[in-house]
Amino acid sequence: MSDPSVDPITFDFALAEERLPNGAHVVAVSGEVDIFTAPDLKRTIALAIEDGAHRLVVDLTNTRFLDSTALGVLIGAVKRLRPLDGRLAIVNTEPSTAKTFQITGLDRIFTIVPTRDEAVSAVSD
Amino acid sequence: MAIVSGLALLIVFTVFVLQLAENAVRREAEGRVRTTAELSARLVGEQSLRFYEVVSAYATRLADLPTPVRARLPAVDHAALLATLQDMQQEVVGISSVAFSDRLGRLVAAVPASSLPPGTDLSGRDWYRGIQKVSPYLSRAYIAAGAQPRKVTVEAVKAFDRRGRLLGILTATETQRTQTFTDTYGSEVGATVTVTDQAGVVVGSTGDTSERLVSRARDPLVAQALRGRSGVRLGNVDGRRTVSGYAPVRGTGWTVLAEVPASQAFADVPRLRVTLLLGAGVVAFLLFWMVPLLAGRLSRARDALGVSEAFQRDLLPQQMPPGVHSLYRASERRMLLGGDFIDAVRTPDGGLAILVGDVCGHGPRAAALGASLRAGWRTLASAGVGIDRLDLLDLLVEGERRDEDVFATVVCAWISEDGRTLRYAIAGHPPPLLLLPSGTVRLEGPRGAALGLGATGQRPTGERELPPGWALVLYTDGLIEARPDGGRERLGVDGLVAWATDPDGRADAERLMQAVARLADETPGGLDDDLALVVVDTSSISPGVRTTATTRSIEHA
Repeated sequence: MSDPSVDPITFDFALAEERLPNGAHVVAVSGEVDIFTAPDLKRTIALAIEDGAHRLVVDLTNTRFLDSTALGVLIGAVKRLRPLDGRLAIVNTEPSTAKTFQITGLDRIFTIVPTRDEAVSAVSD
Repeated sequence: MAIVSGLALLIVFTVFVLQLAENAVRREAEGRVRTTAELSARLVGEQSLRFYEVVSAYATRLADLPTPVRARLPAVDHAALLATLQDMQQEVVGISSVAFSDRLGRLVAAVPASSLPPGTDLSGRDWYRGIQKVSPYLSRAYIAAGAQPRKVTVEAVKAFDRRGRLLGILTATETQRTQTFTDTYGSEVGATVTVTDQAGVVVGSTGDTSERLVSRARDPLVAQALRGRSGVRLGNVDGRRTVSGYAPVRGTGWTVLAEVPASQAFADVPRLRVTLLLGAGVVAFLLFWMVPLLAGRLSRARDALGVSEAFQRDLLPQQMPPGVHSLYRASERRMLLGGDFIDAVRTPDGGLAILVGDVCGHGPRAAALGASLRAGWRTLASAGVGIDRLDLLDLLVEGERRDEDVFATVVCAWISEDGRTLRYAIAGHPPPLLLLPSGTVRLEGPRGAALGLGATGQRPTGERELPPGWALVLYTDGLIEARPDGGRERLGVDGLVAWATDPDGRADAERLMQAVARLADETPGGLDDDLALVVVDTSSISPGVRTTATTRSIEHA
């Protein structure tokens, strides 16, 4: 996103979106999601949901760090999808992120799977 | 103070600009009046020249008239002369009468017939004296004799015969030409135009209907013009401030005076003043209204800061019980309120309850929710259920949050009065550390979900026996997510444990607190997140608490 030496706050944070043929919408997050970058993620997810993406996959495969604000964004997405009969699945293999989910108890609320294919099928059922 | 000096500067500036602009406008207006005078003089001169051409054309005609037989001196046939004079009087517009006199100034003939008999010596007339010096000669104004006294001027032209001998003098009398000009032109340019003869006597003046001779020779401006000068001056005329332009009429010796009331000449000045003062008014308005408004905003911002500080204070207890050491730092980088909150309170059973929590997000709302949670928990703890009823805090989060994304994590601990038992409950919070002489223990479980994730019920509680020399460390994620020494690596729980361990491998709470204080104070660019740390050790079990009156009496017994 920007030169890490210049801006240590937002270094290597990036978002990539993809709408799969079966309607699942994948938001791939890379880098660190914290107080400074979480608003970008929030906006992207909100726009996708507004745009009719009710089957959402958030791919955290390349995400190294999530702070509590980022967790709040994911919680908000789940809550927003609930009345729309939508679903959200998270792809994660990063141990520290898994630990964060575990500590906060979010592992019991989110559907967290190790691969994108599994996540897509989890929201497509 | 800034307003007053700003206003003073504004006044000085406005006066300065006003002066400059007014002067420019005045100069321009004066120039206009002077131009009016000069133009009038030129027009009067042109008219005179044309009139002279007409009169001299008739004078030329006289040369072609038959001469009387046996005339010793140059002369014209009387009947032919009279016919020519009649033609002239009828053909030339604006002349009341024409007359022909011989070279000595004796009247020969006049049309209409003069009351003076032929042969009357007119050599005393101004025009006769004038024509001796210059021909044509435009006479001074005088009152013509007749039934009605009328102010007239005479154009006198010498008439010669074919051989160039002087026949006599042709004179044409005008009554209205100059007066008509001053009326018409004056009203057109909005000025009082006055034309005087070579003696300074008024020939015509805008709006003047009197048929009297009025001299203005004493008017210094007319005097200037009579001396062939032109110019403009601001002065008083009949007690009114007036801009007067003056100029000579070339070739006649007449003068023109153009007068415009100052109020009219400088009509642009008030308009200019209004414009400028309006501008200044706008600036003054900005000074008086906007500046206090901005100042008000500033003070409101300061008030908001005060509110922030109040909130921040509400996130912490006023005083920590003895033996409870805490460190709280809001992120300097964001200059925002944090959502971290801490508390410690005595429980009814004599024990000590400790709370550390974190509302996700920042800002006043997170701080307000944090403050509510602290107060809510304090009530629970004071009632003895601070560890067992975290589910009630769930309700608090769900009821008080304004954004559904918001959740909170807390860890709370209870230490028995004798300091030998620890109970704790964790709701989505990073693991507390128990520092023991044998090493550091992470209290990973049991653990419940964070607050506000939906009804998750009561969190499980853990319990441990505490050996002597224990210390309990509670903190928020801002501590383990900090990047010490400006590096990229986050501290993590491992790093925290390392900080709490001395080189000999023993747990050391003092060492940990110093390291965290250093982190809070020395992180380059300030902390990214809020940071809270609470350390409780055996000093919290004060002898006063342990040795109650009853036990003391027993001990003494």
